[in-house]
Amino acid sequence: MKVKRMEKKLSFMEKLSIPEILKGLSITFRNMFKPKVTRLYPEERYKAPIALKGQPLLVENEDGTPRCVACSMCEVVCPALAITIKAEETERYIEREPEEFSIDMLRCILCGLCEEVCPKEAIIMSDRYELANFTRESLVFHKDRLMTPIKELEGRIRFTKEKFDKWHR
Amino acid sequence: MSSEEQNPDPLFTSILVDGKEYQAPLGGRLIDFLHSIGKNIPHFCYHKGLPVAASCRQCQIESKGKGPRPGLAVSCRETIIEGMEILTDSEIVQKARAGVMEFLLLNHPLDCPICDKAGECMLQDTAYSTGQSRGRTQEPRKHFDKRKSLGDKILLDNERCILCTRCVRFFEAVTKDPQLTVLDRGDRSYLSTFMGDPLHGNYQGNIVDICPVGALTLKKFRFKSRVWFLHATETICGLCSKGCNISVETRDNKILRIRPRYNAEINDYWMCDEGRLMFDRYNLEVGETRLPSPFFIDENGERIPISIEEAFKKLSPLFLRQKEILMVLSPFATIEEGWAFKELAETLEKLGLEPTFGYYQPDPNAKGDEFLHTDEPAPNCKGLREEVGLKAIPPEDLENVNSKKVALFGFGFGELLDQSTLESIAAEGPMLYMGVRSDLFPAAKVQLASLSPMEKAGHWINCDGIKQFVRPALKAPVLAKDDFQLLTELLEAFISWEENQIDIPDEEIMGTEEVRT
Repeated sequence: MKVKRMEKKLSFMEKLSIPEILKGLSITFRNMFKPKVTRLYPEERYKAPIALKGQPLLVENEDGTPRCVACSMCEVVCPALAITIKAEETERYIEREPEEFSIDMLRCILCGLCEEVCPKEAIIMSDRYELANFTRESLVFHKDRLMTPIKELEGRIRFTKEKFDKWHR
Repeated sequence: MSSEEQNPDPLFTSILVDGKEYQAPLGGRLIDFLHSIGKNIPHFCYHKGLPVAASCRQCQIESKGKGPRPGLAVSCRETIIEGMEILTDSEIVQKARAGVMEFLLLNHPLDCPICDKAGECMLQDTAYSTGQSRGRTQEPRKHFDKRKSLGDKILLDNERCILCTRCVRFFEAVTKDPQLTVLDRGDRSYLSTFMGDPLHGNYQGNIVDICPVGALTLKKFRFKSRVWFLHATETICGLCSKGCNISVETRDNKILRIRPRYNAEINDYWMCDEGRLMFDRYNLEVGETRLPSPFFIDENGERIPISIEEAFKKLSPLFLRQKEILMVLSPFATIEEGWAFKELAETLEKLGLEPTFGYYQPDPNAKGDEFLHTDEPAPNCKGLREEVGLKAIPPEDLENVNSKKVALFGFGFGELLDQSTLESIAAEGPMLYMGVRSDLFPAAKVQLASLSPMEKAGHWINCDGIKQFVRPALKAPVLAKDDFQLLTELLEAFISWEENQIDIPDEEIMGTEEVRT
């Protein structure tokens, strides 16, 4: 069987390859002076926008008490069954607070339903996105690691309030 | 149709409800009838088991025909008469109900996230369906004592109380021992005991069930779990021979609370506090007090976990080389287990042994009263005695007995036997203990793990001769077996040993010096 070879006839300039090389190098040199989009990750960290749904955290009031009243609404709504709550009695006017509050970040899908359902604005999706570790136990966050002073979460609390108010109007 | 016209039922009459004709029982209560035909009439103060107060005004309907004066009427107060014409959902009714709800919610705290009643609260349900979502008042809400202890069982939150007086009427009409009252007038009214005394009596827990809001809460259940996580099982209480119908509510295989179930023949809507609160005996932890699997105690007193087949092998010399055995069945056993136990003992008799067998008949205690609680602290004595035909073994028979000849079957010996008898039996150890607790007879030669009454199914006969079905509410440990199954397997094992004439080597005889001759 005859095989017919199709070859493009290259011109002299094309055979030289120099214009193509120059074209490629021009892109390289142009990009050398453009602003960088990559970063040296562990040293330079990404500051997430306020709309990011990161690690859910519990809000700690200014006097050190938890805002959470252990009403279990987040436990009910959680589609991944990541939240476990055990309530206890306190001496404060709000009689109830969580004795045990754990979020299993291996199960959490960061959907933000817990933040949305919370009647007390006590559980807030923070901007923490680095959720990796070496053991499974270290990724089950208990109350001591979840409690965060209200100052760190103020931006997100304001953001969600505006957002939910708009929806519920 | 014509036959109905000729012979109208004297007990029924036709009334018009929302323009539709119904046959209603003459002289019956209107709200009950409206509920029975599927009308949603919200109500707070009305309860079927209590006298009518008509104080909440939530169940208002509009009357047009005969009966109450035309206009709004309170359906819980009206009896059905001939020619009634009723509107349950007219504009005026809706307006009246919404007005009542607004007044009730005027000073009610927004406590639902921390309130134990949330999820089964009548006020919450009604507010959700008929109430308005925003309050119109600017004034601050009234504040009362939020944590007032009424004795050691019940906590009162006066802020949540809507003054329906169900609890007041319960003590007045059901236990005939008034203990609660509404003090002060107008918007300063609040619920209190007389002179602030703590509540007494064995029926306090019922006021928590009938409270339509979360004002009265049980201290034992306080903040334990939200009610929507609970899984309810309809079963029978076993703490006395009355056999009250209960609903056992569990979460994560733990009983968290027990509530009564309606049964007109036995307990109506009520139950006693003993049955309500003493469920810790069923919440046994494997590894602490729960016997997880069969055990065998060797000569050095070491506990060796064994399989059921091995346990039967160890049992054969213990039984077959002993002539006189005292076999005692717990009165918590079901009828079915009673039959299997009787069959087992009679088979042993046929094999040439002389077993004394029967069920343990505890002495009557002084806890009985005229309302629900009886003197007998076990549920099925009557059934085992009369239906199965077992002999009663009184506590005296167990007092000075050679404990090596005792075989105990079933749950409940720890609670029923008195302390000295228990210690004398436990010191040497009975030769067989079939039960649920590992701390009770640690020296028993063979221990078979069986089920507690909350884990098995069967029938009990109460003191009035009513046979009732017991349902399993909890899951048993994997290696524990049903009592009935264990008894029948034991029976089969005995028969096969005798048939095959299995020669039991001497070294397998554990701690039994007296050898059958």
